[in-house]
Amino acid sequence: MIEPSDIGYVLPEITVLGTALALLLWAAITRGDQRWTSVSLALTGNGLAALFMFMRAPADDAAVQVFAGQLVVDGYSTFFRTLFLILASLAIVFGAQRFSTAPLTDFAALLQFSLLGMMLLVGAADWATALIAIETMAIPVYVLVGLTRFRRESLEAAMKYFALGAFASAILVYGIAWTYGLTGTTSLAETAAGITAHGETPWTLFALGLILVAMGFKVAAVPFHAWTPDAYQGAPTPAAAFISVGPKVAAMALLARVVTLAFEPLAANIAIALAVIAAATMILGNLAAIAQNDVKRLLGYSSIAHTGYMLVGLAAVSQTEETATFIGIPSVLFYGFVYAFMTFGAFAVAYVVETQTGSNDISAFRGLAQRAPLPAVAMAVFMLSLTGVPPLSGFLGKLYILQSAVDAEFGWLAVVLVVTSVVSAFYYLRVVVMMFMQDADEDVPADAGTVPASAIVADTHSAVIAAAAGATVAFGIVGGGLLTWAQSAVNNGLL
Amino acid sequence: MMLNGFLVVGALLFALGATGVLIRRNAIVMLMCIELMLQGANVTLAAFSRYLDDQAGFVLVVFSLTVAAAEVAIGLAILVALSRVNPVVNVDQLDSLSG
Repeated sequence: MIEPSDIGYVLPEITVLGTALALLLWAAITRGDQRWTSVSLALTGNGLAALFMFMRAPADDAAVQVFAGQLVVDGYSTFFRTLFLILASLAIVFGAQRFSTAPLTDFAALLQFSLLGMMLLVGAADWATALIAIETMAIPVYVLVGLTRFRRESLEAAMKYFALGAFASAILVYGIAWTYGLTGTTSLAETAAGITAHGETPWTLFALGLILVAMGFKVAAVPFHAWTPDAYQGAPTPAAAFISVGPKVAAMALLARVVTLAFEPLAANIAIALAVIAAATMILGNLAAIAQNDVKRLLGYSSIAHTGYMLVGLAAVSQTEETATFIGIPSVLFYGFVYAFMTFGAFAVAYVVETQTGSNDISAFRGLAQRAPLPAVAMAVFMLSLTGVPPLSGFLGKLYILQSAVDAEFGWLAVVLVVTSVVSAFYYLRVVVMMFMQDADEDVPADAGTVPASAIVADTHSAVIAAAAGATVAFGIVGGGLLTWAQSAVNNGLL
Repeated sequence: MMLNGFLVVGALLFALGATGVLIRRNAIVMLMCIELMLQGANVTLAAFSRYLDDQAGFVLVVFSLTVAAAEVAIGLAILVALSRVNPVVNVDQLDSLSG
């Protein structure tokens, strides 16, 4: 039954939708440079949404089903919605650096629509909600990639991303169709009972396979990763920063719900499938990243590798029974949270270099420590954290994932994780070496080194970089608190 | 049994579409093939819904049609914008991104 009180639980989503619509109207009537009005509007909306979310967070630690079981409001969805609201706000401030008024308002509106989809996706309790939410998240993102529509690279990236995304969606719908046909229900929770009743037949495995393939595209797992580097390279940098973290983590959140809830009876098969995909993703992502010279492509392959690390955690969850000390899903949540800030920050610094030198080539980072010391230090923090160097948050994230892999007796997967992390140090540290130990190239415009960083990088953009760097350092030092939150989120949602 | 017939039709549509996406190089034809895959999924959904005597599958079909319409709108818009800077719609020539 749909109760009037259900509306209260989706007030955050309604606020985000209202902000998106208001931004579209604003885009139609605005004249002159109104960038900061658009930004303020979006940030106010996101702030209000966060307020509504924490006001109506289920007080008694119980998950609340709303809209006749279509959506669930629980600690798990609150954890991710908090992350997405922060990321979207950072991305809009980032966008204000890159775009003039009209494209910025479009950018902010599309971002808010995508944010709405992500917020619904992490609370999806039914295949119908999951389908609509995943498309609400993905369709604005295709446009974001192609937003600079006079650049051929941007449109080409949008076309590739769109074609593979739509292909994945079609596979997802077909997988949902089979799951529904075999179980007779569209509810994620009841799907498990239906599958248990039906038993492990080729048909249930077929349905599971289709859904895993579709989700593999969305999280950019090997062999469904080909769109990632192209999309990041061609997209305007603020859009690339957002899509490399938001939709990927949201899809990972849904995947965790699907494998631990809907397809729980097939956990043994899922563990094997995810372990193989995770290993392939880590190996290929890290090896391909070594050969990259464009920093956005490098971050693309790096994000593929990090998908692999998160999948290790999910494989471990499917492999073993939940025990008191096992931190399977919370380790994935933790990793998603800290990964988002590291990668977002790296794109923000890449944009600083892009404005200074007009290039995204790694050689453009030469001598950045002299030209712009603070962004260079922040970039070093992000690169070291992505490598997994203590005491930064990326290290803790890998440690927790590794711990759950070992607890699940996935020794070989843990070994692959460690070895590929060592390989990743090669290309991450290469950027650090460029910044601190080499002088600027001759082909960098001569004035790039003389223009003070503050003239190019506005204070707001520095604040975005500082926020990402601060989060990366802080969660490394006080990561236990975030892990506790992730654990209570999982206990209040998934289990 | 009637159900199997519909499922076979759905599977054929889906497989034809998937093959088309993978082997055809014309962007518009690829878009049409993705639609074909979605229609295969819809036929499957509707057949199961009728067989199970349950309305949820029909509702999903309506949602899935809406999703397909939104996707095509965006896809064609991107294609039109792309054809302005690059008049050929053959995806093999989309090669300015690499590394």
